[in-house]
Amino acid sequence: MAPSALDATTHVARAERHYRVGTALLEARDEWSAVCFFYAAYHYVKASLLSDPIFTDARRCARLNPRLSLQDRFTERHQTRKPRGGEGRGWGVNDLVLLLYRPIVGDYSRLHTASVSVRYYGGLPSGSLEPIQTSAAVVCEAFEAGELVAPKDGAAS
Amino acid sequence: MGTNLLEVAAETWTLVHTQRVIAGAGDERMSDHQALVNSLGEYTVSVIGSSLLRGFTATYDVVDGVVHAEICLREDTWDSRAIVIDKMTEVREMFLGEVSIDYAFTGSQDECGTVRAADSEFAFAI
Repeated sequence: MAPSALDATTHVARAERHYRVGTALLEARDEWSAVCFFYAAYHYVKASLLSDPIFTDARRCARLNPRLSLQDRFTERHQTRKPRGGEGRGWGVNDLVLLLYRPIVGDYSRLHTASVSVRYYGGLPSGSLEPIQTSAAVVCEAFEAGELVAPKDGAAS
Repeated sequence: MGTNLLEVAAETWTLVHTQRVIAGAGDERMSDHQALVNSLGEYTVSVIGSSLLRGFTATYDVVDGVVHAEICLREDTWDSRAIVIDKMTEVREMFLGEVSIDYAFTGSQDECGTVRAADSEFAFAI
């Protein structure tokens, strides 16, 4: 697996830019604000993965999940999984959030499904935009508070 | 929640196990991944519940190790989606050791007709 093309600082800069554009599009009542807010969250999570201490300790990774490796912090995919006993691409970001950053998994999942709905399906139900912004704010605030780190005891909280 | 989830899981396991036994009697070639998709599909339908769900399909991408699912809701509101997203987190956690689950909402009832049931390995519809 190739190392991430961006470093953590650049991921944060991209997150902040996407968040600002998402806010501007929300003020214009444009559903593409959801896409920008999701990618803001994505970059905050990517920055967190690159700097999370768990990915400097292979034994900690294994205690949390036997198939989690140090290289998984570099994942560039939303969804993937190495089959048990087989070759594959490791973990995707969505499942790393579920495994490592449980306090934001609901908000991150809302943002991801909203982004998919805007890009590939018929869009969002009415009344979606403000809750989506709230979810993005939750992820942003968790990042800024230093809360996006794997649980220390090896068990997901 | 824990008790209900365990009860649902037990009921689902019984149902899927029964299906596997029946399938095994008539079709020895039922693959592991088909059994996984069946199990995941039955469990998801039971967790979300028919009061919210109008249709659900799932297909396993063996290359990426991902089950791609489409969810059609009876009433497509943000509140309904939020409830289902929380329930899908339970499902994803239950299957975290086996497979990654990618899902999308198909939107309005008109779009539910585009759910590709014929191409899916698991399909549920009301």
